[in-house]
Amino acid sequence: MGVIAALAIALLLLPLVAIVLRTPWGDLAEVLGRPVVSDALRLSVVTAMCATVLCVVLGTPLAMFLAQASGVRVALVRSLVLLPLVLPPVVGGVALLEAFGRRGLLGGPLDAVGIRLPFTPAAVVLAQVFVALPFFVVTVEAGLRGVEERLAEAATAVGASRWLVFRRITVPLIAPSLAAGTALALARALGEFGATVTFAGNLGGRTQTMPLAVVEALRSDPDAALALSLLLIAASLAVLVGLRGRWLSGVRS
Amino acid sequence: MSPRRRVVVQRGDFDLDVDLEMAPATVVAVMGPNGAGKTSLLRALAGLEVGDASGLPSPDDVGIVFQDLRLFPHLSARDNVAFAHEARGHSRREARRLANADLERVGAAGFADRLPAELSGGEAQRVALARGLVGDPSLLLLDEPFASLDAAARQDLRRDLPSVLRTDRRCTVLVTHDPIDAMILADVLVVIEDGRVTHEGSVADIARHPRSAWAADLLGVNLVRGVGAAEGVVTTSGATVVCRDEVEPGVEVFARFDPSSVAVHTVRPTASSARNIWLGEVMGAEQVGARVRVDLGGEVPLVAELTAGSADRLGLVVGTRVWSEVKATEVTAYPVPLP
Repeated sequence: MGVIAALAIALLLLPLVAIVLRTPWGDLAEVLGRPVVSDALRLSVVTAMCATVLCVVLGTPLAMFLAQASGVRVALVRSLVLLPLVLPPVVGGVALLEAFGRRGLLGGPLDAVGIRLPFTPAAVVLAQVFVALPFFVVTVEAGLRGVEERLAEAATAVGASRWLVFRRITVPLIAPSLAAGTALALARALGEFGATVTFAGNLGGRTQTMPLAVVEALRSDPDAALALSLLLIAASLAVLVGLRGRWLSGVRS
Repeated sequence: MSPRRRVVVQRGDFDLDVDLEMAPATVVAVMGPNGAGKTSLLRALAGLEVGDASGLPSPDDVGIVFQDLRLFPHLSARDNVAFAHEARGHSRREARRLANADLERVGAAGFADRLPAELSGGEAQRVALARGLVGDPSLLLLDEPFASLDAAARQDLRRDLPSVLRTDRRCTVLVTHDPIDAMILADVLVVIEDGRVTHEGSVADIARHPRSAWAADLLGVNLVRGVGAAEGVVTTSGATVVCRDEVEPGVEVFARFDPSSVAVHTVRPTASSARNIWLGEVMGAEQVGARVRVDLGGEVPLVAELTAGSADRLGLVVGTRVWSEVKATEVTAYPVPLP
């Protein structure tokens, strides 16, 4: 047992150790300054932040709806909402193209009024929201279900409006879930590759986020690929630290 | 406007239909068996239950303290109370100021900064009470405020509660399972059974004329149901209870007597002038202070209250066969009310 467990740990850790060992630490500042790296970094940070904000704004009401309602229809809605969790991201990209592409369901009408989404930074954000939103919704819905109905009733009984109950009772009580959901959505948005490359393309400085730049740099500039990978590892570690006590303890509260 | 309020709640096979006198400056204690509808009544009065209620004050004018308190776990004692002020449109700052005064009034100022998890049962109860009193409601609902308290905290709260509850305009409805609360806190006791009011009056009144086995048991008196006959009340098991009062033959009646008026013997009393002598068997016993309450089964099941000394002398154990003896002058009889 112990040996197999050690093997599993090695399998997970060895690749990460390899990146750390192979990173050109001496020239790191210079490598990070190269346009391919700095452009991708800037684009990734901006789009992932936008996507995360959208996840919070759109996902909170959705999570509240799912947490409050019950029944077969709601279960169906929930499964559909969670589909992107397990869907291959490339398929997500194709689906987004079919919806918002120039000949897509909504893309045609949008094109008519001069809005073209594919191959723009906005498309990057849309792809990220598509894959990250379910993570946020699942986490926040679980948090909302943990808030006891009896507390909301007590708040209503003293005459509080729904908005006041939401602001002063519900949100503070689900703050840990909101934080965890936000961190997960951010991490997922930062790492997004398949849907992005399909729907937004791989245009340097415009739609080439860090994961896309890593793949391209691997052929032409391995040092840049390593530096970008290191950044993504650091971001992932930061998210894990943000989630500590929730997942690191091994018990989900 | 009449202070009587009618509350009707229908849910599945449960229905509640009660009519209560809720006059200002009174405390109404509500008691009843589990599932009788006490909590549903409170919820309906608070506007939390879908039902039909007439003449209730607006929900703004009703305060409720839940049995499980329901303090907001992330807010300090002060902010729990301040939340209710905010809900009434006060600014956060003003709400906190008002909350401080509220906590002071219920003796909770000393732990205003603590979270609910850091409060004892008695302290939490006071904070919940302060929250329920916000807005000085004309109707205050307390659901078993003493149920979760230890004996000392219960004493403290019983001592402090009257001064908090009494105002000229407020009616307090107090659900409790302890007749002591009804006696020392309430002006009137209402007993609810099966969704209907079965008794309404002072504790002494109800003890004098209980009209259900539950109420008789609650107040510790013996109640035998039967049919009037020339010689007294005939029970379903065929025993006859001779009473002080005349009973109308053929009418359903209750016969009532105090446990302390029952004499117990291990041999059949022969020279007795008492007209009621029944054979029975000891089913159990419980010591209350210096006295022992003995449960007797037999043709007329009853409770006899003896001094500890005489219980000892008789050598009563479960299964002992005994004769109980009650003077007819100790037994009152009155008709069973029509449903």
